[in-house]
Amino acid sequence: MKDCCEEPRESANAAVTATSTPLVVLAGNPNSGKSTLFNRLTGSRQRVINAPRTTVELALGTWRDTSLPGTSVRLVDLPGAYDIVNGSPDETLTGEVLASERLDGQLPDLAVVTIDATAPGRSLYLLAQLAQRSMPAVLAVTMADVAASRGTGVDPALLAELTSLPVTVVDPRTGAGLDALAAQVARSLTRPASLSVDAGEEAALEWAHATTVALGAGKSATRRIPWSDKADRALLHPWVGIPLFMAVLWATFQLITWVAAPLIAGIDAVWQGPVLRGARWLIPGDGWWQSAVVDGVLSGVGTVLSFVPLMMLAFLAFAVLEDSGYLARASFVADKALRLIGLDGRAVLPLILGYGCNLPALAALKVLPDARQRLATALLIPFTSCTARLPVYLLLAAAFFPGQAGTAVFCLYLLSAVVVIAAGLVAKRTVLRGSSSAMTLTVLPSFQRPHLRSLGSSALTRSKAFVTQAGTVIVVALAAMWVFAAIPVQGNHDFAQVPVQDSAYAAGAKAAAPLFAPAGFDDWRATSALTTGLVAKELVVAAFAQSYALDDASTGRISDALVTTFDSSSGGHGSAAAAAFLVFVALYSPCVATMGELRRQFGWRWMATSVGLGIALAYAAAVATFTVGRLL
Amino acid sequence: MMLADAPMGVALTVLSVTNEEAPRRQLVAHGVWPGASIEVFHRAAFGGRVIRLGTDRLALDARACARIEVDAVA
Repeated sequence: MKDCCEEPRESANAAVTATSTPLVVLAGNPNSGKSTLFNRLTGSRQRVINAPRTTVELALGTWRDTSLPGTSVRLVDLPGAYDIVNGSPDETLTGEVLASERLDGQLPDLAVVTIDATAPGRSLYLLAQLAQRSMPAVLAVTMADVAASRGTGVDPALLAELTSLPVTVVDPRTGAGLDALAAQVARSLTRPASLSVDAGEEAALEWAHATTVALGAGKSATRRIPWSDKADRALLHPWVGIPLFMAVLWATFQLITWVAAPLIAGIDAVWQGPVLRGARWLIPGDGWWQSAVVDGVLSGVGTVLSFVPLMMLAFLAFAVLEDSGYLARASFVADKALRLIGLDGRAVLPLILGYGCNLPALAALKVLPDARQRLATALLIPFTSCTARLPVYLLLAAAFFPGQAGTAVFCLYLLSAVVVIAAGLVAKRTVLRGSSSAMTLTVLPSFQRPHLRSLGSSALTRSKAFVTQAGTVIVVALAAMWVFAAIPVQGNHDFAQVPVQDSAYAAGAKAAAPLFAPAGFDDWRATSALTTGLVAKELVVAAFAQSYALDDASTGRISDALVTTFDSSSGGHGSAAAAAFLVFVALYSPCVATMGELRRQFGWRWMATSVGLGIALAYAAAVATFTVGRLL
Repeated sequence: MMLADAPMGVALTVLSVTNEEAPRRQLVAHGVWPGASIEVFHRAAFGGRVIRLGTDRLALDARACARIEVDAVA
C-alpha cells in the first residue's frame, strides 16, 4: 500500500480550462456537515435534480468566489455515504458519478471530502474508497468544534502529512475557513493532488485504520460523560423516547399549522382579490377565454402559491429535526416498533420521509437492501400522511372543530401511524413471510443547534422544486377541471357559460356521490374533490374552492359552505361526516406521482394493489368514523 | 465475549467482526473494525446496544451485537 501523491487524473482535469466551468463534487458521510457546507457555499444558487436514470436526489449549485478559476465553479452535493463500493444505491451513486460522465457529460475535476472530526475513522474509510478511484481531492475538516468540546480532534497538519492532500478546517455554520477552502480548491484545480490506496476493501480498511491510529484521533481525552450521552440515555429509552417522539411530532405539526394558516389565508386573499381582479381588468370582455385564463389557470397558480409557506415550513421543520440530530434518535426508538412488524430498522427513514412527501419516501426505499423489504415498505408509505394532505386537514378541522383544530390534525397523524403499523403486521405475515432482514446500525450524529440560514436555503430550494414540479401538475389538472366544468351536459348552455351542476364535471361526481352516503358525504362536491385528490392532494382544497366559486359565488368563505354541505349530506351530523371525509383523505392514495413511482419500481400489479387497498381501507374507515361519530 | 454480553461503561477492544460479507462491510464502513476501541453506554430494548466509538455514537440492534466480538481493555 502506498499513501503518497499520485499524478493528477489528466483526462478530468484537462477540462479545467477557460473553456468550461470546473465541476467540483462534495463527498462525505451523512451528518458530517457536508450539506451545510454546500448550502453555505452556494446560497440560493442551487437546484435539486434526480441523478440521471435514478431517483437519487442531487443538489447542484454555483460556488462563487474571486479566488476560484473564472470566479466560480459548479458544485454538486453528492448523497451522504459510508461505503461507495458496497453501500446502498444512493451511496454507490457517488462512485458512479466520480467514474463516469453522469452529470451533463462532464467528469468531476475535484472532490471536496468532508472529514468529520468527531468520527475520522469513518470519514477516512470513505476517503480511501474515493482515493482508489484516483480522484483529486481537497479535505475539509468539519465538526472540529464539537470534537474539541469532547477533548479530541484532528490535527490538520498531521492529516495533510498522512494523506498528502491539502487540508482546511471549516465551520460551515459560521463561514470560518471558507475563504481558505476556496483558495485551496483553486490551487488544486490547477495542481491537483491525489491520494493513492491499493485496490480492495481490505486495503481501504487497513489504510483507514492505520491513518486513524496515526492521527491519534477518535479517542476521547476525557472520561467525563458528555451531556449528550446523558440526553441519549433518556431519548433512547422506550418509556421516555416514544412519548417524547410523539410530543415532538405533535408540537411540530401544531407549529406548522399555527404559522402556516394565516399565511395561506393571506396569500389566498391577495391572489383571489386584487390579483385576479387585475387580471380580469387586463383581459377585457367577459368571454370564455377570460374565464379560462383567470378561473382555469391563474386560480390554480394562486393555489400553488398559497401552499408555498406551508411547504417551506414543513421542509424547514423536518430539516430542523434532522439537522439537530434528533431524527436519528427518533428513528432508533421507532426501530423497535418497526422490527415488531417485520421491517428493517432502515425502513424508518422512508416512512418518516413519507410524512413530508410520499415521493421522496419511495425514492428512499433504495436504502433497503432487500427487495421484499422495499416492497413491504412501499405498500405502507401511502398511509403516511404527507404534508400535501395538511391543507385539507386544516381547512376542515378549522371549519368543523374550531378551537381544537390542532388536536384534530394530530389525531389524523396518529391514525396514519396506527394504520402503518397495522398494515405492517399484515405485510409481516404476507409479503415479508420468511424474510430475514439484515442487521441495523444507526449512527447517532452529534446534537447541534440547527443553522437556520443553511436550512432556509435548503427549504427554499425544495419549495421551488415543489412549485415547478407539483405546481405544474396542479395547474394543468385544475385547467382540465375547468374544461370539464365548462362543458354543458344538460340544459341549454354555451361553452363556459354553464352552471356547474349542469356540467360534465358535476355529472361524474354526482354519479359517484351515493357511494359515499354511508360515510355521510353523499355530495357531488365532496366526491369531486376526492376524485381530484387522486391527481394530487394539493388539489382537494382547490377543487372545493372552484366548485363553490362556480356554483355560487356569493357563498363566501369556503369553510361556511363546507359546513352547510356536510350538515346537509349527513342529516345534521356535519362534524361526523367531516371527520369521515378527513379519515378518507388521510388513507387513500396520495397522488398520481406516487402511483407512477410505484409502477416504475414494482410494476402495474403492485401499483394497482396499493391504490385498491388504500381506497378500500379509506372507505371502510370513513364509514366506521361516520357511524360512530354520529352517535356521539 | 460478544458485544451483547459486554458490561456497560467498560473500555473494550473489538477482537473480530463477522465474516459474513454484507454485515462485515457495513460494520467496517462505520468504523467497527478489529482493534477499534469502543464502550457500551446504553442498553436498548430487544438486546440492542448504543456504543461509543471514539467520540462517535452508534446504535446497534441485537443482530449486529451478535456479530462483534470484544474484549475488555486490561
